[in-house]
Amino acid sequence: MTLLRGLGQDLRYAARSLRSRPLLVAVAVAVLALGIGASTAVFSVVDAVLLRPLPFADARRLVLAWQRSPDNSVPFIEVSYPDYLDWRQQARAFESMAIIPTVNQGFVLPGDEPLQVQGRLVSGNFFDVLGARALVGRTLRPDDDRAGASRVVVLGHGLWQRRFGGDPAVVGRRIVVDGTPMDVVGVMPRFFRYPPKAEMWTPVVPAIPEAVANRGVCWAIVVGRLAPGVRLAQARGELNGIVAGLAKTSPYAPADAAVVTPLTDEFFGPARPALLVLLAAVLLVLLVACANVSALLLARAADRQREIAVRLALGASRARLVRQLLCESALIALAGVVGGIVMARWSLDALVALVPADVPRLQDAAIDARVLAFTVALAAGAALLAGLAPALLASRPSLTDALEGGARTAGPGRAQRRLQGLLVGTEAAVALVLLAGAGLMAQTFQNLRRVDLGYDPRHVLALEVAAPHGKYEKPAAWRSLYQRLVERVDRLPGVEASAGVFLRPLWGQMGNDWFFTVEGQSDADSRRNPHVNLESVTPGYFGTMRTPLRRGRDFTDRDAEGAPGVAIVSDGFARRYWPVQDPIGKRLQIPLPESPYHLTWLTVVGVVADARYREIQASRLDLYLSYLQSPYGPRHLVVRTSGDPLAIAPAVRAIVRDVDRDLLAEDITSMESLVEAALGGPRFGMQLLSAFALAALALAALGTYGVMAFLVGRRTREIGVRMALGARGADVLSLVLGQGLRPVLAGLAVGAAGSLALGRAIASLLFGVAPHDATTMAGASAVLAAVAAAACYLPARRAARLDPAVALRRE
Amino acid sequence: MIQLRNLEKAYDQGGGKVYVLRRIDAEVKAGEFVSIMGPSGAGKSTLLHILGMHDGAFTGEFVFLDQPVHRLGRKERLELQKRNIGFVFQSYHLLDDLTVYENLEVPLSYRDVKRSERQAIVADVLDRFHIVGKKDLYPSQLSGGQQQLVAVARAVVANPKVILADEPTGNLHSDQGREIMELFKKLNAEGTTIIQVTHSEVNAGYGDRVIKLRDGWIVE
Repeated sequence: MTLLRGLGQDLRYAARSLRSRPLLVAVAVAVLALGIGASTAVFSVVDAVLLRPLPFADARRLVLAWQRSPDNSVPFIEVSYPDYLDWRQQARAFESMAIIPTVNQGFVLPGDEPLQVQGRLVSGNFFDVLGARALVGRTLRPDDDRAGASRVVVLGHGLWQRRFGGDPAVVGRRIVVDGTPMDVVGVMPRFFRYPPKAEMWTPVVPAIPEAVANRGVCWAIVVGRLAPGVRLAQARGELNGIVAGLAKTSPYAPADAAVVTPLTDEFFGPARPALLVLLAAVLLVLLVACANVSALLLARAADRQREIAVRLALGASRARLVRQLLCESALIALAGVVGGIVMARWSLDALVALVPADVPRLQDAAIDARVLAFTVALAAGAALLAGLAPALLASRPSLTDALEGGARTAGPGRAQRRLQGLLVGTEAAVALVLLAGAGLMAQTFQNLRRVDLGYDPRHVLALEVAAPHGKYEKPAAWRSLYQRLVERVDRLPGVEASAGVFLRPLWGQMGNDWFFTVEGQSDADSRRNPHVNLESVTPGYFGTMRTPLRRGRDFTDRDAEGAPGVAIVSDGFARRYWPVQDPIGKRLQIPLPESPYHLTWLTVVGVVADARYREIQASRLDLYLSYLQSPYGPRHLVVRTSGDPLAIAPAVRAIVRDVDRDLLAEDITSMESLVEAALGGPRFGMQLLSAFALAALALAALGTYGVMAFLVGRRTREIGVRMALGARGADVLSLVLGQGLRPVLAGLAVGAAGSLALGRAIASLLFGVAPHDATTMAGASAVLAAVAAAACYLPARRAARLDPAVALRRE
Repeated sequence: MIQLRNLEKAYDQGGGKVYVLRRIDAEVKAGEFVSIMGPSGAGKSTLLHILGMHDGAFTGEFVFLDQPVHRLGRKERLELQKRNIGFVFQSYHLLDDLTVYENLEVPLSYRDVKRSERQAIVADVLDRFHIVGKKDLYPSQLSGGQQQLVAVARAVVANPKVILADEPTGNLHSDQGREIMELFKKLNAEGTTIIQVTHSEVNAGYGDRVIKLRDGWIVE
């Protein structure tokens, strides 16, 4: 109570005191509002994406598991259903396990407006393993996942709203999915979105009974819940042993080791490090803002030495004085919070628009109670940070000096100068760290933009041609389909060429990863081959995509069923396996179950440029099959136009429907926009870090100027004395500039170390530039030094032009 | 009430010391009105600030109300000062952002006096000094004499045993100065010990005795 006594009085006096300094208060509030507002907006995104509880019970115990080769040359090998059953039976480190395919698949809902939705075939205990409950009805049960069980489905919340009007009576209804009647048994809550984009879940065993019986068909990953008290390393070790044991007895086993990773890592993906770096960056901006306000308050406190000395002489304790001064910074912080929240609300939509759309739970970002609580805590921290040091320093004046109406020496005290130097140095250090980070991200973005994709994305329309399950599953069927599609699309005005491909470039991280053996390799050597990216393409695909044909020829319609098996490989593939020989005519084989070309020798007839299929940052080894010799027909159509590719989208969609009413033209987009989206993450990082760096630079310049102007003002008499003793303007200029830049240079040294640390922290986000890139560091340092010099120059020039007589008369 | 034995104050300068006060031996009894006089640089204000416990950097003995101030820590010294001493400055040193009423209230607030008590005490002092009508004015709205009057009222509001005044009439013209000195006389008659620093023989005449300083030494 003693601590609180008089608090109301102190707050009243603080408000009155601030009212008499409107300009200082306005600047301080604006600076804090900028820092608090930006931090709040970024935190709202980080909170929604990373911090809010996942829609699973005890998510820390959830893991994903798959296989890999022992030497990690093949880091990702899927799991077969029989392997999953063995794991479940043998693993003691896991409380439970479920199986899901590696990627979503499309399910078509028929109707006047057919709709394709993403969904997954999952084991019956999938939701139990996750600890997720249905909003309406129930989730899947193990009983649903038996051979011969009647088909059931669980709907996602978004699909339930869009397609079924949010009607709870949909539970129990029979709907048709991919031509198969299924009973809806439940609807998931709004916040359940796992795997990402999946809106439908149906049991796997009744859906693909032949695949689940085949140990050689690897198509899935395992979702597991660790037993209580079991650590990740333990689970990994146990699973390694199980996988190795199975490898000894199975003719199919490609793997000897297991990968077990937290589900949260996969859930968040690269979003987590990127968002955490951004949160750290924006908090650094807030730190600079606090340092700025602190410098302002310090200058103000210096002008109040007399008042503070009188209060001490009247009996104020130091704690009481500090509290009174902190009341002022608290009121400034409060006004900063209000301004910051307004700014955050206004900027949140813009921030969310910048964030790559595939970041999970982004749509949940909002300024809600949690975020407001963070904001208030931030403001309290800012008030303390900005106000405490000046308050502590100001509350220890030399009473006799202050009360006798002037200091013995002209200018501010040593402690005050040191604190001001520390503030300026801190701002410079932080600004340099952010500038260097922005520089690295900018270079990353530019490097990615300049990458040779291996194809020309301009003027290319891409779309998925979705067929109901069971239709178009044989080469003859999709030959007929794609011949008709390509022929009709080619006739459209503005179309230069079109072709079909299994998965278009930049479809996603997952694809067809396949084993292969090059003729002449031993079994042991072929086991060490990395997985190849396997594609099926129609003739003319490379020409449509403008992927250069380096040697040999493209596929033709003569490369069909019954003809000798052929393949086209990428440059990288040819260089790796036939570095000095002509790849044309070389042979390789790949397992193609249910295909007449299964483990037959395929002859290489062409070599094309490396293409960036999965991600822009890297190319893989690509292997192309003729669509008529592959077990996987095309799923995507690519169309090269002479103008805006989206302009012909309606016509292409109409052609697809006209060719077969059961077909859906989905995911219609331009390749150029896909490339831009793929660059979305690096672009986002560059834009935001640049914005923060500029803000920090501006604040640092403002802070440096403010401190310099204050110091010059306080040292007017000293400068007058120096000039009276013979100092020229240039001498004064270099004296003031030198003293002003000294803390900046110290800040640069500290900032350089901080920049190296930041570089290491964001190394996984960089491309084509080293985390410690010297050019970036030098450039950022030069920019900061130049801005600081400019900020110091104006007050220094004012000092150099002082009239000594006027200066000496000043008290 | 106050005893000084061999009190000295010096500043380090270069390799040696510069003495501001040398071997000060003095005594002030309760209820006295003492004037400290001397030329500029004699150490008068320095001595006053030591007596007011604003400055703890001295050697020698300083006993105040039987308390050895020279042995007290900073916190204890300030507590002793808070309970017993009021200070009047040459430049008044009123707080510009506070009204007359609030300026009088501040010392009480620093002594953790409850709000209702503060109101009563301040009202009483305003009345005693005949400045009730000015309680809502700010220092900038008062004349020099009025400001010093308020400063004296502020010095006595917490009922100190001693008032220390540093050139209390230095910035006032003679009529105003006379009023202030009369006030001090009255307070002294009511039992308050007063020690003032002054250049003025006239002001010194209001007191009981004079301590003369020259170059840091007591000469008379």
